[in-house]
Amino acid sequence: MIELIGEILKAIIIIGTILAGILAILIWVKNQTKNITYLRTLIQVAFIPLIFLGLIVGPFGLPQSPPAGNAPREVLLGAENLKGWFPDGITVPVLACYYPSGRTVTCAIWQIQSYIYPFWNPGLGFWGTFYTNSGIERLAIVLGLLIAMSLVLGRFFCGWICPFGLYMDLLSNIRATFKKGYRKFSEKTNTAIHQLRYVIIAAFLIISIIFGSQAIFGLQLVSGTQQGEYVYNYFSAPYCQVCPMKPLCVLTETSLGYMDPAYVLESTTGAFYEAGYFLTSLNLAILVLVTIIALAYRRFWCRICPLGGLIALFNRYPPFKWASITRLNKVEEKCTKCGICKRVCPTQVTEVYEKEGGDVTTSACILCLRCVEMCPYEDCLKLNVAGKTIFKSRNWVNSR
Amino acid sequence: MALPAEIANSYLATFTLGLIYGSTLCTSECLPYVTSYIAGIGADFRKGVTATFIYNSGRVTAYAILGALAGTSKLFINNSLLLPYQKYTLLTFGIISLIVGIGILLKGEHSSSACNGKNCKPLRLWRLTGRFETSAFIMGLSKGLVVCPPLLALLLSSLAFSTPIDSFILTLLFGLGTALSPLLILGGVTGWLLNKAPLLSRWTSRIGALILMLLGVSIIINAITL
Repeated sequence: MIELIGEILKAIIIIGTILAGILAILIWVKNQTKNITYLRTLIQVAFIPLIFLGLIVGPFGLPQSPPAGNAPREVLLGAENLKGWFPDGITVPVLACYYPSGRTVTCAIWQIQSYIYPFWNPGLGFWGTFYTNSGIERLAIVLGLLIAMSLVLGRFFCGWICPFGLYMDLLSNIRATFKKGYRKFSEKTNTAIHQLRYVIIAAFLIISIIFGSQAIFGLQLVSGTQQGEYVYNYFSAPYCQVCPMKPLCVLTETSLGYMDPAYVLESTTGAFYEAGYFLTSLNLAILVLVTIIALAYRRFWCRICPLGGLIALFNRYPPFKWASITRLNKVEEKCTKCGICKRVCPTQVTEVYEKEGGDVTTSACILCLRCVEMCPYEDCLKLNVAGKTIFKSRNWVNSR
Repeated sequence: MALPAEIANSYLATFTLGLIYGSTLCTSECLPYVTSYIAGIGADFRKGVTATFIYNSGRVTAYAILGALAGTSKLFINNSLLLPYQKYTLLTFGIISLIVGIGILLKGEHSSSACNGKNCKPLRLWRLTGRFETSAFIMGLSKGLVVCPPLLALLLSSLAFSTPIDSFILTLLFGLGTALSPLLILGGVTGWLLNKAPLLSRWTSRIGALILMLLGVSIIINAITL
């Protein structure tokens, strides 16, 4: 207990130092065109230890969580209270990867896939977890949380909280350091890339249902899906085998000494296409590819991310659209069509510029508020939460 | 004139049996074909549900035909007839899946999307021709003609009834039960999700068609080796 309090204090000091440092920078930089960006970076950085708090306070070295990679269940948020009902921890709509040792919350995509296949029925899960309820009940909890969070915050998660979003921003900053301009996709290509996430969602849902047909419908459609068999071992969460966040988390934890490199590599077996468990060649190839593209195109992955797509589905499409409370509003009378909002948008959203005022939030918008920050017209663009304005554009040109 | 209690109970039990099998085995068996077909035709939620409904209607019709045949000609009692029947109906279903897949692929290649990057309507092949409703129906009909174990059990047990019309009614009720399955929702959700990507509809259509063709080929191979 004393050790845990000590670890928590250590975490608070580290987080506090980071926050104080960024606040100092914020105060130092009076440039109004960067204030929201700095605040956003501050929140993104603060959420890294919060999402992966186990990196700091995890009871590493204890028998129940050896550095081989077993998740320390003690730090999983909600797991202790919900016990067998929800032992994988609270769902969050950010890429809070399931695989690293120290996560405190769990990525919704992993939960949705895994509760369809292989954990549809009550019983043993990974790492000694035991599910006392059915997959459909767990899916209802995941989707309930996801819908509630999406209605309240929308894709604010993508812009302000998601660790992979921060990684994308850092890559953009590397390019900016070398004074290199960003590349842009053509409008049609960009729209197609944004739409790809819905195809990815449909694909992993259908694949998971087909893999889990034995448990769900009582008829096995694909062989090798039983416990211990090929599909169960290597493709039980199909999207996770191609997600670039997984290798990033695993590599970070391995480099920090929280996961055993030998174990991580051992679990990767066979040919290129044969996915391992922690670190797979396919995962790594996609991470490298995404990293290279993200160096040229800002927030590249955020345009494809299926988790962002799920949030958009539960926030920007009827009937959820009518109930969402976080909206980006535009006052048409104050807009001069200068086009700054269109140029600065990291995901190349054009609707803020093109729409005729009112709610201009779109499914592609990650609510990073770069447009609000850069719009030089007082009160033209506003972020409203439940009708209350949180951020608004300011006339930064005259105030300089 | 009221039905005798035992017959009425049998009707209800058969319908319930249909509901149970519809939620389990039938959904599982038909899911790959229906989702591939929906991806192929570029349907939205409503059209996805409708296509699944039409596919299920084909199956119900097939069950009713089989019930009528069983009642009148006692077709499925003879094992030497049943095996070749299964082989050829399976082969037919495989060929139809292959043809529907090729049809979607060719139709997709000849249609052009009016998208210019935004504000574009999804590529709705559905609207271009009415043949695709027929395709879903024919696929369902050919799938329904392949006698599955629960249907065979039902057909055999229906022979115990006094009139051939009972076999027909029982299989029809069984079919109606299976038609009210989660497949309707799954088909709708597939359409809903894929419809959110109109610019990629040509690609999803091609992929759906190719999967349908592959499924057709695998059924043909299965039928030949039966």
